[in-house]
Amino acid sequence: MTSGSALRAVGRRLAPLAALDKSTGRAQFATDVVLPGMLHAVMLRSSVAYGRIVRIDTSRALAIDGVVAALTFEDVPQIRFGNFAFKRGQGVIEQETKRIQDLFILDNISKFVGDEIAVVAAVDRRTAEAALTSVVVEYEPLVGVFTPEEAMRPDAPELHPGGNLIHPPEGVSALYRPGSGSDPTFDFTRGDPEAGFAEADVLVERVYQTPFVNAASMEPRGCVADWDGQTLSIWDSTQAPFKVRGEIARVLGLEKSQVRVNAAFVGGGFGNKGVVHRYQMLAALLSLRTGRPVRLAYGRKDEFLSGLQRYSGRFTVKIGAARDGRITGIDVKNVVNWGNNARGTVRPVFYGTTSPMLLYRECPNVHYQAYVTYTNLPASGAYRGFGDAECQFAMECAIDEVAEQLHVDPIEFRLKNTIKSGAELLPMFPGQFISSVGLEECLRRGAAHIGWHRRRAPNADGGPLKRGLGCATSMHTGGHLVPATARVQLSSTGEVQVISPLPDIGSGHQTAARQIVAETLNMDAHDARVRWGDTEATDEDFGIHGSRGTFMIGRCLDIAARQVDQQLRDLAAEWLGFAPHELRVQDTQVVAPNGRSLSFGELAAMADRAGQTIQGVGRLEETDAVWGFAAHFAEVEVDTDTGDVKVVRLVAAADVGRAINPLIVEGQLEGAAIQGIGYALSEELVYDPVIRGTLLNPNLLMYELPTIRDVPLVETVIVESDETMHPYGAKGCGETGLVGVAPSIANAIYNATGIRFADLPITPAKILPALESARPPDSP
Amino acid sequence: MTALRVNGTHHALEVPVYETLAETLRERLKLNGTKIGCDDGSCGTCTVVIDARPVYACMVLTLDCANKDMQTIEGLGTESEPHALQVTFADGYAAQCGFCTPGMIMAAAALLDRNRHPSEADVRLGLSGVLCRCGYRKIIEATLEAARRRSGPA
Repeated sequence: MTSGSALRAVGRRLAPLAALDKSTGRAQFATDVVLPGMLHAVMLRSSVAYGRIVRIDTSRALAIDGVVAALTFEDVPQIRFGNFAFKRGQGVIEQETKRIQDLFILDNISKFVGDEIAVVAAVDRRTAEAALTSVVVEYEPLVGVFTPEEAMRPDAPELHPGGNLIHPPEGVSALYRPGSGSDPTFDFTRGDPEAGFAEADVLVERVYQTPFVNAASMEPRGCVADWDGQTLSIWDSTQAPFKVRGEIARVLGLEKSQVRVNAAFVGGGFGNKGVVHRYQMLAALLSLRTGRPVRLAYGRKDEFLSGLQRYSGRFTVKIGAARDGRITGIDVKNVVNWGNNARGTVRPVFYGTTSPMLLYRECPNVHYQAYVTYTNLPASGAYRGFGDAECQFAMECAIDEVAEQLHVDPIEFRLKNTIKSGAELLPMFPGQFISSVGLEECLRRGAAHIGWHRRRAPNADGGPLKRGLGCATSMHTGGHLVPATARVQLSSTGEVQVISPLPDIGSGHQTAARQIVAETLNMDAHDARVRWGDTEATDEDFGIHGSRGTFMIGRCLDIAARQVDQQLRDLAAEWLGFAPHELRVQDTQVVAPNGRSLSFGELAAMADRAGQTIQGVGRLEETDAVWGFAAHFAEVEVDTDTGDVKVVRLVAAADVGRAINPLIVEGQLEGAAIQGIGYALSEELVYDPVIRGTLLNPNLLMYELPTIRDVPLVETVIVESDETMHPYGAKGCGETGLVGVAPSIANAIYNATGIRFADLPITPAKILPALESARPPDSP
Repeated sequence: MTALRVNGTHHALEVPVYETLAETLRERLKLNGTKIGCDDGSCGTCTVVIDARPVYACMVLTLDCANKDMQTIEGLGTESEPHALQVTFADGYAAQCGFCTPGMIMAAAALLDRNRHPSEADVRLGLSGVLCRCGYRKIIEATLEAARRRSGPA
C-alpha cells in the first residue's frame, strides 16, 4: 500500500481538524478554563543566581485580604522529580528514579536568577502578584558558575551532588558508558581519526559558538488544577500529558488513576513543553491543600526564565579531506552550557551531536566528545531540532569550507560523503540499517529550485548590497523514539473513532492520523472522528515529541485499523455468507462479492448486542531508527552600510518519506524555517556579564523573533523517499525543517561577503566590524 | 459604571482603573477567544478591533474604551457563519497552533476593511504587529485569499 497504488485519503491536502475552532476563537487552551471559586497562583522568583535561603516568611503575604495559600520549600514534600523515561518492553511509562531527577518541588537553594522559590494563591491574579512583594526572603549568597570553564574547574562549587558535569545513566546508546566526576559526558571513537587527518590534503579546524535561544511559543505555559476529593483534573499546556500525570501522581502520592490531564489545544510546543515543570506540581499541590481549583499561568517573562532554553554550545570541529573528495577524518568537541538542572533530557545532545557523523557516514574515522555542564543559568531542554540544530550548524559551515578548499561544489562534496540507503547506523545504532535516504533528491531538486548555477565566487558584488547563495544538508530523527500506543474503535452507532494520545500542538498530527486510518479502512477521511488530548480517553503514551506523531502513532493507528478491518470482516462473514478474506471494507461498508453489504453501523449494533466492541489497539516498542533529511538553500543580501542581512529566498527541500498531507508538511517546513532564520540572524538570550546570571532580554521586544516583515515566503520542495517501516512511507518532518537553515544562511553570507561567521546569531554588531577588518587598507 | 460595546452587545461594568481591556474581555466578559501572549504589548496576540483600528487589548485600559465600538474574534464570525478570514485561515493551515490566530485575524480584518485589494506588502505591513511562531507564509496567503473572496471575481 505504498507508492504506486492509488490512495484516497493519504496524500490529500485536507484542511486541518479543529482549524475552524482555532480561527473562531472557540478552541479552549489550558488557561482559558475558568472554574467556580478558582484561585490564581503566582510564583516568586529568586533575585540571586546562587544562594541558600536562610529565611523565608510568607506570613505577611498570607495576612493580605484575598490571599488563600502560600508555599515555600518548608511546606512541600522534599521529593526529587525531573526527567524520566520509558522502560523498554512495557509499552507504558514507568518512572525510573535512577534517571536524572535533580529538581525539588521547591528548594531552599536558588540556582539561577528567576528560580522559583515560593508560590502564592489568591482570589485573583493581581492580589497574588501584589502579595509576592510581602514575602520576606533572606539569602546567603554563594559563588556561582556561569560558563562551562568555571563549572569544570576542580575547585568549582558543585551545583548537584557528583559535580557539574552531567552524566546520564546507561541506555543512551549501545556505545555509551556512563562516566563520573570530570569524565566527559559522552566520548567515543570510531576508526582512527589521527590517521584520517594524516591522510588529508585539506584540514579545516574552527570553533563555532551557538547561543541560548528560547522556543517562544505564543502561548505561555500554564495550567488549571482541580482536586475534587477523588480526582485531580489538570488542564495543561503540555505536549506530554501522561508524563505530567505520572510525575504528579508519584510526587504527590496519588494513584495515576486519580489524576486526569487534559491537553487538547496547546498554543505551540516545538518540543519545549514536553517535560514536567514546577508550575504543574505547585498548582496541583495548591488545589490539594485548598480544595479549590487553581490556575497557575506563566507570563512571558516566566517563559524566558523558566521555559527551557536551547543549550549554548561551543563546537571545535576538525575535518580532514582528501583531494579525491573523500572526508578522511572528523573530530567534534562540544562544550555545553546547560544551566541549573537537567529535567529536560540531555540524551539528544548525544544523538544530535553525533548525527553529523551519521550524516557523513562515509567517513570511517570519527571522534566525538561532549562536556555538558551545569551552570547557574536557566535550564536547557528540548526545542525543535534539539541536538542537531546546534551541532549541524557547526558541521555544515565547516563542510562548506572544506569543499571550498578542495575546489569542489559543496553539493557534490556532500553527495559523495553522506549516508546512503541501507547503511548501518554506526556509530550510534549498531545492527540497525537506515532504509530511506532522500538526500540526493533534496540536494538536486533544491539546487534547481533556487537556481544554484547562479552562485558566484565569494564576495562578487562591490556593495553596498552584496548577494550570496548558500546551502546546507541536515538530518534529524524521523520519529522513532520510545514505545507508542493508539487505538481505533467503532462507536455503538458505527462511527469510526481514532483515539490518539497526543495533544494538538499545531503540527497537524490529528489530521494525518485521520487520513491514515481512513486509508487503511478504505473510507473518506471526513467520516472518521478523532479524539485526543485527554488521559482518561486515550492510551498511555510518551507525548508529541521528537517528530514521532505521524511515524509512531501513525503506525500504531494503521495496526489498530487493520485489526478493526479484520474484526469487521469476521463479523460480517457469517451474515453475508462468505469467508472473511472474500469480503472487502469500503466506504464504511463490508461488501461481499455478490454486492450484498453490511454497514459499520449495522455491524457495530450486532457487536453491541453480543456484548462486544469493535476496536483495535496498535502498540509499538522503540523501533529501528529512522531519519528525516533536508537540504536548505538560502539567498541573502548583506547591506554593508548597515550590516543587515535580508534573506531574499529560502528553499527547504525535505525528505519526509511521504507527505500524508502536503498542506501540513509545507506549513511545518515553512514554520521551522522561520525559526531557523531567527536562530541564524537575531535570536539570543543575553546574560549580564557583570550582574552575572541575569537575563537582559526577557521579553519579546528585546528578544527578537522574526516578524512577518522579516522573512521571505519560504519555498518548499517535498521529497518522498518512502520509508519502509511506515505503512504509507511517512517519517517525521516537523524538526528537520529547522536544522539546516542557520548554516545555509551562514554559508550564503560567506558567499556574499567572503567572511565566515562562526558565532550565532549573525547580527549587524558582528558583521560590521568583520567587514571593516576585511577591507583592504587603502580602500575608501 | 463603564459602558462597553463589544461585538454589538452593551455591557455596563464596574471595573477598577488599572484593569486592561484584555483582562476585562477574558475575565469578566468570558470572551476567551482573545489570548494573552505577553502582557507588555510586544506580541500582538491580544489584538482586537476598536473603532475599526487594530489595538493591543493588553495595552489599553478598559475605562478608556467606554462608548467605543469593540470587536473581538467572537464577534467577527461563528462556526456556522464564519468570516472569510476565518475560513481561509482554517482551510489553508494558517492556524497551526491557533494561539496567535484570533489576534492575527483581527488585525487582518481591520486591514481588509480599510483596503479591499491589499498587496503582499500591504498584508505584511498590516499584520506586522502580531507575532506568530508557527509560520507566516500560510497567513499571508490566507489573508490574500480572503480579500479575493470578499471582493469577488476580479
